[in-house]
Amino acid sequence: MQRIREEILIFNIIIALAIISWFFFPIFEIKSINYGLSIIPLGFKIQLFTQQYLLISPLTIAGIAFLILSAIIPLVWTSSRYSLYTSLSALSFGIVMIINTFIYQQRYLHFYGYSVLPTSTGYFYILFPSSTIYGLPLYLIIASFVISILNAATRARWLYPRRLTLLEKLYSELQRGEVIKGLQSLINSLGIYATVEGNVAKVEDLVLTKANRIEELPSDVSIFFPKGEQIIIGDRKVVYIDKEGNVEYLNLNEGVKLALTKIIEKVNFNNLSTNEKLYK
Amino acid sequence: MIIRIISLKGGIGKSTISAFLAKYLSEEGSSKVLLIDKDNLNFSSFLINILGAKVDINKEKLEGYDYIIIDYPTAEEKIESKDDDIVILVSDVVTLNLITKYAKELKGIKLLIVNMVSPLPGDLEEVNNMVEKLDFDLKFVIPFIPKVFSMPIRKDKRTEIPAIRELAKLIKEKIKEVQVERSFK
Repeated sequence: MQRIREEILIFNIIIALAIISWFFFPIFEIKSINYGLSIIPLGFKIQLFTQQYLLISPLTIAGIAFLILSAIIPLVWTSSRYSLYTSLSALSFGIVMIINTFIYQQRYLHFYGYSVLPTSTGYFYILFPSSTIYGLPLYLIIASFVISILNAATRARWLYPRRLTLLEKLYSELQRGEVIKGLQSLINSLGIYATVEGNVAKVEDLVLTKANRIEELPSDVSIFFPKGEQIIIGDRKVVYIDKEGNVEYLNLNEGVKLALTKIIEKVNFNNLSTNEKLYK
Repeated sequence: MIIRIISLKGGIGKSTISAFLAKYLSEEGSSKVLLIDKDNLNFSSFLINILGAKVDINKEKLEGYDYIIIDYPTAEEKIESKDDDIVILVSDVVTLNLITKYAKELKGIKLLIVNMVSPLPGDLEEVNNMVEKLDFDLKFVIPFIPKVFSMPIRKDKRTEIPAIRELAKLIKEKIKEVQVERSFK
């Protein structure tokens, strides 16, 4: 499984705290001696003297569903930065639902300083000295919104702000199962002459490809009569067939290191400018 | 110790395995090894010459050897083996079921070698899983090694099969443990 970035974890912890705390503390509350109104995940909880009732609102339910969705998306969809944008959109929808809840409260449950209580025959207007409280979940939602914007803007790389090295980019592509794409970008960055067709990259007589089973092997790559050297990257192991036809198995990290060493070896590129490019 | 090497199908590396096993067992000069090449093609004797191993081939006199390796022709009849023999059954993926049935009739310490498996990691893993369930004393899965395949043409004596080297080491060091275990079964 791909490692979850710390920036995503921070966002998820805060949004999880916001969701959980909303079940214990209202997002918004009007409090007075004999009257109270609070916005909870199911809607409006209204209390008058000893009477208490719940006005169920689809807005708050939809709001909490969007908050949960925004937390799940970056955990499940890790292959693209678009998950961060989708998560931010879901969170924005959740916040819009909460704002709409406030508007509903102001529009239908409040009138010129009076609190409005709907009854079976009409409305009941009451005026008590009251205080308004914004609860902890609201602040946590605002904090998670800021972090989500930050994640979307920086591709969740704001904790240690620096550019990725080419090697780190390659490892990141490897984790996504796009190692040939990563190698292609590395080859391009170094200005090495190579041919990349589909899942096969060729540098001089070195063939790099991705295949876990024989049927996945590109038709122009032969493991039985190899020409030159071959590095075949599987799901969990890498096969290296040397010039003489010896077969060696390596784990993925070792295999990628070998692929890089061989590429540089092939183009005899071990000079200052290459080293500068590799670690930039 | 007699090591009998058998396969039910030709062209899957039985003679190559016989020659390499003989070479590895004879290395470091500690053991005297005789290879009896019963196969009609005499391919293992041919390979021994390429490898330059200190192994006697096809001697009439069988005494004085630590290991006698018999390379049988592709099996058509049952081979008589004894309880303290090592029987190495060489198979490819296709003949795996047949060789498993065949092995049940044999006596001795039974080793299975599934040879010339596609070297890609997923294929090798799948064959490993298939072999894991089979009832043999020792099991090896060896991928196709292009260098070994082209050895008769290149005549390169530095050619290696690491799994057979490991097998030779196990035969030298550990096979006694297998025998002891079996005697308590």
